[in-house]
Amino acid sequence: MSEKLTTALCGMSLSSPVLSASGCYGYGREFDKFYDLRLLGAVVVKGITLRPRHGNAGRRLVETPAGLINSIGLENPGVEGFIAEELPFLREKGVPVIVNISGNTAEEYSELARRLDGVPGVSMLEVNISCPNVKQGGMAFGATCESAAGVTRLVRRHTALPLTVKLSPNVTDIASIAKSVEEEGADCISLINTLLGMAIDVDTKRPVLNNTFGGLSGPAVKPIALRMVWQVAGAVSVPIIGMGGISSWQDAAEFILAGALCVAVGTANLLNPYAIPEICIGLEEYVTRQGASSIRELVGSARA
Amino acid sequence: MVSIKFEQGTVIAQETLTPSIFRTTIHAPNIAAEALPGQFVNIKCGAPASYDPLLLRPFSFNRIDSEGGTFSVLYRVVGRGTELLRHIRVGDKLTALGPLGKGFVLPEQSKQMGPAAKPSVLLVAGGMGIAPFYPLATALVTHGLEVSLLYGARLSSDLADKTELKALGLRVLCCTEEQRGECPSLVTDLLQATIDAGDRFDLAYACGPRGMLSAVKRVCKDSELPLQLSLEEHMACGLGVCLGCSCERASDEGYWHVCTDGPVVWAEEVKL
Repeated sequence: MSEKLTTALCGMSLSSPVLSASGCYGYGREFDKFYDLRLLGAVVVKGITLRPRHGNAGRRLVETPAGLINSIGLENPGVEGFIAEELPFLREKGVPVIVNISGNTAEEYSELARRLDGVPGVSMLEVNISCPNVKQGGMAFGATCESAAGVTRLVRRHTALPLTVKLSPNVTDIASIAKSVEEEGADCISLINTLLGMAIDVDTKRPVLNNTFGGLSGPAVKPIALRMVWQVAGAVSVPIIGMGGISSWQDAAEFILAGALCVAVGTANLLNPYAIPEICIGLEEYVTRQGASSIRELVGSARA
Repeated sequence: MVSIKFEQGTVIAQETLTPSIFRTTIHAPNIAAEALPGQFVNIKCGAPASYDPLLLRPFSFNRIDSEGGTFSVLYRVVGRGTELLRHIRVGDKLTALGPLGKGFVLPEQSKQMGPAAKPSVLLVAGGMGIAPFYPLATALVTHGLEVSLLYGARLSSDLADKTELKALGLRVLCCTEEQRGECPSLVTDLLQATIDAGDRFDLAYACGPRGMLSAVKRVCKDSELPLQLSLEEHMACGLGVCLGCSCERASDEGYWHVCTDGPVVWAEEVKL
């Protein structure tokens, strides 16, 4: 792998600024069959909760023009299941692991942080205060500056690991929420999570999803995500992991030029198992064509 | 362990079987080489870099020619993906991901079947549920098994693959909603009538709409006939990553995922 894509995030050396987005990469196993996971700067794993969750009943997916609404509902083996069954595989692969954590209560977030602190193979926590598909917690914590700051403060107190806080786009002023989590010790900001959306079945005349609303992702959300990354990059000084509909190297480059130090690829992995390697190759060639020696030189270039 | 390929193939044949049912044959030797009856393939139906539609579309294998490097999919046009797929020109490229999922368990692999000398196998298809049965029937006939097919559709013109399955040596009984009154119009009624008439089977396979599968499961349970179901669900990745294609487990709580735990499951494993 070339030096051109190497970067550093919160004290970690990354082989590339391209990460997986939580929920669209499982725990890496499926993609390991297609390519070397060390191509990724880090694997951001499927959201983990304190106890195992079965996920939501009923239909979980609705395709939309250039988008996908999901209502998975954080199906996961719980933190103990993750540590015992999934983490050893990733540790053996030698790729940095960012664990996405979700709680029903602020206390659950701090308990998750405490449990994962010091666990070998865990490089960073991504505090998910933006999941739209769980009844309690999730997005509710990301909706106001006060609640977002409160969760960040609690988690910060319970771990020495670097923290990134994943923000919801379903808010009025995402930059002020970013600032409030930065003030409480977030080392990094991840954005965006999915946009709240819905679909109605015209035959049954009922919402398609049991929970009525789901999270919209995919190319359709990219312009919104990019705008929000731009706004947050102008408001905070911590690094940003930008995501939302990134499907090509050009998309990734836009987020980097807007001020993201790293980018995460989500829905695109579901359409093309080689999405991440293709984006890495494209970005590397782009760096060369720009006459730069490193992708780092391009971070925020569009803001000048 | 079977490896999944993301392969650029070439469309080598486009057939119109009935006014609404089509078969597309694709040369994709890496996928075809390892495809098994009951497994499926995810096909990008739109133009290569297009997001219309965004997701790949899952199809069960309707023909598998491992040596010739081709496979076929059989479908009714129901939406954007199938509409685009039927119009792809012969010679054009198309990307596919497969083979995916767990296929049918054949009798010699099946522990649930009785120790009959020459097992008799029953296939039950509803509508497009016929799609995966040709490769399965071929395998069963090759193993020297007696195979019967009960096949229901709305219209007699919708009975795709009927002639080819008969030609394999299957006993084929069809019913359509057009024939209402003459004989059972639903395949589940035909199944009940067949069993009531004293026909005995050692193993059954069913594929079709959810309501039909549920009825077939009930009939088979009553007559203690082991049953495998080929399930269908809205799906994104096909790889077990997104967890979108859930299906309720029958025993403990939680869900199977049709793409990796299925699409073929034992009937008693799922709640329908």
